[in-house]
Amino acid sequence: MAQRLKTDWYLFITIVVMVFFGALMIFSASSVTASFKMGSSYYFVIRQIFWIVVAMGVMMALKRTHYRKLQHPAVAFVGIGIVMMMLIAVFFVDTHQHRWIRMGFVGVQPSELAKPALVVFLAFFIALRARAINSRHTLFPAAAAVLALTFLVVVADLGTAVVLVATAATLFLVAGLEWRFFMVALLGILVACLFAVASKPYRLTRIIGYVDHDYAIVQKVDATLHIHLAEYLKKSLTTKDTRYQSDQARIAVGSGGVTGLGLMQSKQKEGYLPEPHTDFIYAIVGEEFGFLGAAAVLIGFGIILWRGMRATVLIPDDFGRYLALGITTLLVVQAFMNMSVVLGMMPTKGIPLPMLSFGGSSLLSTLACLGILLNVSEHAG
Amino acid sequence: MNPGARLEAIRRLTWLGAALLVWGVAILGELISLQILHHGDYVRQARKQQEASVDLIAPRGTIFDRDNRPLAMSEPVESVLLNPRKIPDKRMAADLLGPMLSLDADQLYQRMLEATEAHRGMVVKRAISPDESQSLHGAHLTWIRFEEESKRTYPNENVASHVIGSVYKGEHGAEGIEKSNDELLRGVPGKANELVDVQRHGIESWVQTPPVPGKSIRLSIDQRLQFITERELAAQVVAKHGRTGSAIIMNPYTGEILAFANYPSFDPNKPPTNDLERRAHFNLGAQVPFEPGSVFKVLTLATALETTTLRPTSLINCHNGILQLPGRVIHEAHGGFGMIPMADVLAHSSNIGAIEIGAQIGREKFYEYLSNFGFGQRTGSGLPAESPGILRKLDKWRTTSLASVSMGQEVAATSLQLVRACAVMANGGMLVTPHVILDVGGQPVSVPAPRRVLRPETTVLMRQMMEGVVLRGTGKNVIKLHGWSAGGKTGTAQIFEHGHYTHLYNASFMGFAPLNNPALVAIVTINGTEGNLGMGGSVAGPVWSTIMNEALRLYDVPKDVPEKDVPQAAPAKVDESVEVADIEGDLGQNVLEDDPSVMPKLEDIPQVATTVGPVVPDFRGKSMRAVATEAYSQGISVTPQGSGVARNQSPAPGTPLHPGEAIRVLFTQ
Repeated sequence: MAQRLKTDWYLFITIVVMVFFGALMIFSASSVTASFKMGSSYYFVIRQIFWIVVAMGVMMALKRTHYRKLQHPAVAFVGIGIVMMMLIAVFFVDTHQHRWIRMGFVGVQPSELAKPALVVFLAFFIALRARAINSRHTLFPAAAAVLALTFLVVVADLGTAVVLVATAATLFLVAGLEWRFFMVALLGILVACLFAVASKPYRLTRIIGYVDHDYAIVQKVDATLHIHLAEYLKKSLTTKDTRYQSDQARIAVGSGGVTGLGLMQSKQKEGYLPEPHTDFIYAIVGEEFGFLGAAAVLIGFGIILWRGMRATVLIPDDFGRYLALGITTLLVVQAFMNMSVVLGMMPTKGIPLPMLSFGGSSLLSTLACLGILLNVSEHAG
Repeated sequence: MNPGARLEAIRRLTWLGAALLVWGVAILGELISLQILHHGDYVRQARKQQEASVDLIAPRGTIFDRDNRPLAMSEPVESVLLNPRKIPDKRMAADLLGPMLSLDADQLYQRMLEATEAHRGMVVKRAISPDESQSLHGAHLTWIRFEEESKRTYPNENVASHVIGSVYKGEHGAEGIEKSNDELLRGVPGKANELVDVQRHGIESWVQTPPVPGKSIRLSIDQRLQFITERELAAQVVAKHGRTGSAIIMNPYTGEILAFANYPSFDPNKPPTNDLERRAHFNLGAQVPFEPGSVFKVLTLATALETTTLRPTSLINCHNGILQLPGRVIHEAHGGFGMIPMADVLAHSSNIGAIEIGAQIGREKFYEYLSNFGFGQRTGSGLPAESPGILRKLDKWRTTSLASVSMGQEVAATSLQLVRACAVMANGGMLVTPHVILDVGGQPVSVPAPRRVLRPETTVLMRQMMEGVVLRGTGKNVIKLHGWSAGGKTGTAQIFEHGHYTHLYNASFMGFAPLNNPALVAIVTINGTEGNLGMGGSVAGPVWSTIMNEALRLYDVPKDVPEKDVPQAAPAKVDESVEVADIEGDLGQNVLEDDPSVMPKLEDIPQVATTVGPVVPDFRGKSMRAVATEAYSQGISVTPQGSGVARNQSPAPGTPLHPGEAIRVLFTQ
């Protein structure tokens, strides 16, 4: 009979508060679009609450499951295998975006589910091969798994792929990967990025638009290239102005001031800021709750970082350590990336803010990860 | 794990944590920069895109009659606008909107396509009805926009339309008081700031400067009297087969115009669509001068009383009906008159008598007095496009001009000028300024003070002589007031048109009632009557009598003569044929040809633009290649038949081209 463990209340309360604050923000941010497009202002928030119930259940179940039960080849391989199959399936099912598997009322994004699957798999694999991390018998299979998964994810969702690769890189780095392998991996990522850009050229225009908005540098390189770029942008299905979203998000955040305009008072959500309840919800937080609200959310992720790092250091076994580190890195990197995109510090990338953005799959995978982290943190004492 | 590796792991972990921490701090720094340091900039940017400035329409001032009955008022209405480029399915939108707004769906669809081509939004329908508004609002169409406008309505339709005028789109005054007082009536639009969403739909708004409503205007027009005047005038013009007519009733002391009627009139609610309807917008009484004829003799005699020793009893030689002037012979019908008193010259309207009297005045004196009476100058009534009439300068007067002017020729005057001159006789010698506006926004309008032009004694004599016209002269039996005495003068002037005098008359009667202390003065002119029954007395006299009776009754003017029950028998023979000057000989240029600017211009009347659609081009005589090129350039489809040169086509050139219609062109060698 295992002793009764003390719940990590810091982490637990932070998670619950952020999830429900997220639901509130989703209602505030989506009510206009929802009533306009879906006929009811509650359309999105009702769906989110459904997913909160499901995801909280999953989180509580994982919190009560000893994390070492996950340290089993069946769990690691079956998890990543299912996700990979779903990713292959989604490529053919959703012919347009390659993102969604829809089953009646619910839709699932396999790329989101890839996050916990990859973390569990890598933690298992690295813990297994911890003593021989730099052996090619470790590296090739791990690299193959990561690359395969990333390749499948990148087709639809570059943002998530970046997060996955960053997480994997972090785990191997901490596990003692030699720098030369790391450099090789970096080169590989670069090549992969080139392929990613080549497959969907709008990504390039986004990057160029971010780095060189007025095509000043582009014009120096090639006098006519910017015309082609502009033409391409016009034809592309994405938004006309590559900086439009980011500019609108900055206006939202900036006009919030210190205390914000107040709940439901956002004006940018009246159609100015696209997707205010998903990838750009942080902008609405900034607009409605000002610096205090935006900083509070940042601190919330800071708490997750603190508790995750603490568990990583204190947990006695390798599997737990890599689990905690992988989850922490995954969530914090994703959150910081989202915030940086919203604040215009990074080129626009479709990536949700964990716990706050609307989206069932994202919430499910995030809370599943956090359930595991809570359990690890409990065992860390 | 060996200690070295563990140390390395911890070190790498620390670096990692530190990197994430730095990233977090960078985000915090950016938040501070955006939300605290540059907060103001972003608020400004947000305002710029989120707020729109909207004009708040200021209601146009109401126009009332003298008893505060509304003659013109504005009510808010909505117009429907849309941007066709934002409509997913134009065909469906047209089919949906068409029936709702009682528009033709196909036409609406065409207009949408045109607007799409031209990259502009379009007005679907202006001033929709409350029913249409309700059903449209209920439909929750996201791609239409409503714009509040104000619509001018004239509840009495034709009544006083020439005085009130009308507005054209955007409520700009087009004619009448609406035009001359446009600035006062219009008001100042207010401004509001509106929070708009990205589609520029308003969410909420707050007023910055409230609109200042236009000032209301109270006219001197009496709506009841105006209605009667218009009715009687129109009936008589039609009955006497005349063309046009005008009638004015005025207070002789103040110059307030109580009724100002013209025939034909118009409904200011409906904009004119063709030239005929536009012509009906002329305020004939103020804008169209004419040769007044015999009514002008009043002025000849009044001037004679002032400047010569002639008295009403002075005998005037009327030369038995024939007077030889240099290059011109004046005849009077029925042998004319011999030596008759001056009063009878007026009563029987002897042209030769008037010429003799005029000769005694002399041209300089006569010109001076006519100028004093206001001829050749605008009256200052405030009605737009008022004509000054024509009084030739003395140096333009020819040898017979004095004679002509004495009997009302070679001079052109408007009804308004004539009624003002008549008012001088009625009010004891003062020249008043006719006007139609009593007060603006509750403040009385100042009118120039009356100016003395005749001695009171003169006007007493004139009134007596003008009573003679009614009692025993050309106005006998036609001027019938029920209990009031009256004085006046008939006039029958041949109309000069297209370079020569026609056999059509300008029949008029001007006069006042009651005789001593006249309360009202009025003039009636009917243009285009013919023959003996088209003379001033018998045509204008009955209208004058009816409207004067009604006016005197409405204003409770005390009766001053016993009410006679005049038998409604056939009118006795009226001896007025003498008053028509038989015009012979070359008179030189007619006075109406002097200055075309005294006549109103049709271009001043705004017209509703009749939509000119594409028309079928003329392909005839062209080669097949030329036809094909032209058709292609205009986007027309052509069905060629035969070969060679185009000989015939269907539909014919110049007919409206219906969209999608193909033109059959027959080519032959």
